[in-house]
Amino acid sequence: MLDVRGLRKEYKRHLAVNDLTFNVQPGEIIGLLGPNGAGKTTALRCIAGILRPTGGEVFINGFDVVQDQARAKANLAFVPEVPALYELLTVEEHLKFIAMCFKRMDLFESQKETLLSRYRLSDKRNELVATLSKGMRQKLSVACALIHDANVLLFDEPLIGIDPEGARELKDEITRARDAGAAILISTHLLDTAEKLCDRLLIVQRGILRAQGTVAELREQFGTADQSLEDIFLSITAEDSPPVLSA
Amino acid sequence: MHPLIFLAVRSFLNGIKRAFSNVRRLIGVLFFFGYFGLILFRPFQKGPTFRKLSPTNDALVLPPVNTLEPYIFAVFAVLSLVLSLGVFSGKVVHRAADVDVLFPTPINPKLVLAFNIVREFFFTLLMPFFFIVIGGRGSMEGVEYLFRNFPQYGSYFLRVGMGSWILLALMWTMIGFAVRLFLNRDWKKPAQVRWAVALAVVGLPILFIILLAFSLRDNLTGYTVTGALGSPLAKIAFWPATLATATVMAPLNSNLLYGTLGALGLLVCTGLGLWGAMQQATWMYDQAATRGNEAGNISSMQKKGDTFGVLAEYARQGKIKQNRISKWIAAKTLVGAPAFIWREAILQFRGGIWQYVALSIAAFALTGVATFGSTRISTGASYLFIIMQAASTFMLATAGAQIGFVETLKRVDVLKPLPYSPNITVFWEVISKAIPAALVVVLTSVVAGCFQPRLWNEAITLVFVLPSYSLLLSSTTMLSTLLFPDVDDPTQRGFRSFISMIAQVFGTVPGIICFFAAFALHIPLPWVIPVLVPLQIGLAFGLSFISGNFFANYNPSE
Repeated sequence: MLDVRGLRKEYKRHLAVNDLTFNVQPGEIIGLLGPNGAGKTTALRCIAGILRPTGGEVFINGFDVVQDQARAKANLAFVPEVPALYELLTVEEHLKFIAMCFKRMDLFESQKETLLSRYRLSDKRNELVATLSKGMRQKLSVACALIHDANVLLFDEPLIGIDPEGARELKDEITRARDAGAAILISTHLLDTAEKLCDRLLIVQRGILRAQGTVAELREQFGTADQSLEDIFLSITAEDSPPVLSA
Repeated sequence: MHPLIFLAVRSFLNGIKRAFSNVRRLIGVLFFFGYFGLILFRPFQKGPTFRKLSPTNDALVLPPVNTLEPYIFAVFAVLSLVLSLGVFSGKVVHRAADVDVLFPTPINPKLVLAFNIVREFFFTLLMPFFFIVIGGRGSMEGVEYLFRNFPQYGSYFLRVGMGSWILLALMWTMIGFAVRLFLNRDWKKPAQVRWAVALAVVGLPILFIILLAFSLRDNLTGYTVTGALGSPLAKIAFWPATLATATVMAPLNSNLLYGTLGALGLLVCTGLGLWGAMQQATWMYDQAATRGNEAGNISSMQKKGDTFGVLAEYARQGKIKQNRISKWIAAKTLVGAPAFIWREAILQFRGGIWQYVALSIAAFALTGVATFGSTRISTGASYLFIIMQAASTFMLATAGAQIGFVETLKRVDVLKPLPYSPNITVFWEVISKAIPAALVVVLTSVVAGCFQPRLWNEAITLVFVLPSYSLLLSSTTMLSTLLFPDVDDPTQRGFRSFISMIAQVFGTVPGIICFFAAFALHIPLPWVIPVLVPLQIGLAFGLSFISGNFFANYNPSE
């Protein structure tokens, strides 16, 4: 469903993502872990078709995200870490705009009340995005991602800035989407959430995939049975030299 | 409805609706529409027209059409060269929301690019057309009056001239989009690519100018230059100007075929530029997400007058280095509220104000030498000296204050928790913004006094009076900034500048009255000091106190 092959992204002389290869199957949640500056957001943006990969390929439902953007993105949803939204649209208009972009007005009509109420946005439906708090914006961004029933979902730090109730709701939503057959990729710093929510984990550092597998597999490979994910994560990302491009 | 049209229409309508939610926003909107309404409807009002002027007034005496062409060509050549140089500056600007919301959708990137072009350039390129059509009537009367000896010129000249200019600008805008998307790709050797493109775009015109300067170095007259501009080489080197000139000349020499070809040529080149940009639409997302957003931030901050925000963005990009003066100031310590002055000094010097100050001093010194170089000092020179110094204070103080107070609004979360009342915070903010201008004018007054001792009375008076004047200007700007604090609202920004200007003019009135009275009553100028200085400081303190109350209630989230 989501197939990433040798993904590489350079910014001038900085190598942000280097030869990243993995796939996410239907009904699977993958956690993308890594320290700050590991290239997680860059990788997600390449997969979402926002950044153009320097090398490698990304296939969504079999469509190349560079060569066949429209079809690749038709079933994709992306929730950025700090979503920048259209300030002069109301909450409901924002949902409608996304549904229009994905040509899923049927879902907008049937799903909007459920989503607005689930994310406590019902009473804000006619308010401009400009007036929303940071947490409410995050919730709206999540609602926008879910309005068109995508089967590949990308979340960049989705739980940051959301209150506990909203966080619980979002985690349930992600699990529901997984159970419905969606392929989900989540970038996060919250290791305990990743451990509970994700079926497999990818640990990247300085753009390189350092380890991948289930928590049990990672324990087996990098630690002992009684070690926490935090210990394993810290041991994997303890030291490394940055991959720098040759002049 | 297409989602992009929905986005544009809803954003526009919600923006207007939002303006009615707040009195301050509403005032700004009314001012905005009132201003443009005046431009649009003024020509329809009855009033004296050019036709009612005396027939003895001079009409324009034009040379024959054929000799007019090189001048028109020269104007378009210069315009075209300037516009072509503009294609290398800046980046393709996108809004952050485009990157996060629009780009991950399956909408065709070419459509998104076209939407972006229309959104960014509607006002700059299409609105002038609107003004020509509706507001051009009054101007047309003037043009027709000037051309009344040549009625066949006047009826078309303005419209066709403006139309050609806009077509030329549109063409370079589209080419600019294509060129910028090309230049900002992930090139391994971007400098070489930039040079190659620059050579392709402006190489020929610049080569022509060099050749022209070289060939005419011994015989540079208007006649030889116009002769050279009529040559085939000039027509090729400045081909966009050739097309624009053909369009303008059509109604004058009745050669409609050439005119049509010229306009079509410009339109075809516009289309080619657009096509070139469209072919690179997939690169647009990448550039917008990486570098374009930086350009968008800077552009947005420049519009808001957030100069320190722009500098901070440049600093993030590594374009601003620390200088010795700011490091030296940073090593000093000022305890309590005067620390505001310390912070301001560091920011100003790190932000490059020292260059501005140095330029001001240099400019003043040059003018001073020219004006006061003689041994005799007339009353006129005395007036001039005072006016020049007051004008310098006005420019420096208002510029510094307008830049600085936007920063004050943005840093309200840092300033409010400090252990000072809002009035004290505002007062020290006002003082800190007034100091750079005060220092410059004190320094230049002392220098002028030393250089020309006969002006010592004026100099010593200004040394005392101008710092308090700077303080008063700073406080008026602070008040108008806090009255209309929404930096994101363009209408409110415009209105704030307008109110600020009026307030600053009022702030100048006490000084004008005192100096005028001193000159009229032949009172020695230093007597102005004990009257004007306390008055200006008192007014500044009062205005700061009022501003303090607004600052206490200021909430950036509103």
